Amino acid sequence: MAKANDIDELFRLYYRPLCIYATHYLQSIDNVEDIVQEAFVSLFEKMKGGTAVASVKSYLFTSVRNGCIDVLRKRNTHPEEFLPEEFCETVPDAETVSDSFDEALLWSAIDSLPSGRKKMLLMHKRDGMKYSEIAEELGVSERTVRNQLSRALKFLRKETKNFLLFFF
Amino acid sequence: MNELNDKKLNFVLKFYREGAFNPKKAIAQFHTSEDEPHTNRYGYRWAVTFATAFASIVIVFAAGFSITKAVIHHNRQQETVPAPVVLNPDVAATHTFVYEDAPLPDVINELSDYFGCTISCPPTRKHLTATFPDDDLDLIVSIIESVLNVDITVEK
Repeated sequence: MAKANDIDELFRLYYRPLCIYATHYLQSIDNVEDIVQEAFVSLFEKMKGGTAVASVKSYLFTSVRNGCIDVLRKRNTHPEEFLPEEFCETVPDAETVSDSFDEALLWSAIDSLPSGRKKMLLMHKRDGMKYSEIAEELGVSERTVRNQLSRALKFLRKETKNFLLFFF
Repeated sequence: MNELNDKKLNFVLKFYREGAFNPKKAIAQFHTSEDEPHTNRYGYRWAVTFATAFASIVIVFAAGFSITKAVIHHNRQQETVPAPVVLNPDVAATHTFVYEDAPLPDVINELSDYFGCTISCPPTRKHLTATFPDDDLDLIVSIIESVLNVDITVEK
């Protein structure tokens, strides 16, 4: 029978990878957390009702995927043209599931970066800003930017050493 | 550069938002919503079941009411006031309130006691998971109001 702590443990294991998995499908973070919460609620109801769930991980990822397909169907202006098979080819599933766990580790690692380094990382890697531009924007030297970025990447590398390392 | 993993980093950075996808927050939200009545989930079917059950209970209760009333009146003992629930016994030393899945009425009672004023909220089964410093009651109240979506009244 499902207990409160069981579901908490499932959240800790799967919540972030599920959110990232949904983001792959929706290409945005809007609606993602609602879809994932809904998957957990539905799982919990099933467990409470005494239905055996063979693979919790499978159930959750499938629920989330279906939730995303629903959202995409609604978003699509020509729903009759939307074919799930077509869609699935562009987001191969098993790989996406596996990537989501790695990316969840990355996300958590970025979360734990000190705010200055995090900001610089986002400015450089996400916004494509050059060291000089970052330095000017934040009122620090270029050397500081280079230093901070190097530490940030070193930290990320250390935190995510379970999957293949990337090199800066 | 390892293309594959740069791809993962770029994906994460593209969508990264501070505070998003937080499992602790999600757990709190899950347990809060768990306590709310699920009347919307099944709609009509539940409404009919509930109405029938309620009607039956009312009929049975009306029949037994006069007898029960007489018996209780005859046997009435002095009522004891239940001891107030104390969730944070060392807050005077730690200056921090820590609530984990605490029923809101218990939280309210503890805060009323500590700050020496009358705090009230509408009857609710909501639970609170949060941590606050003990120096600003107004701040605490406004946080609880927005997190749990309840109206809290403070009489100082």
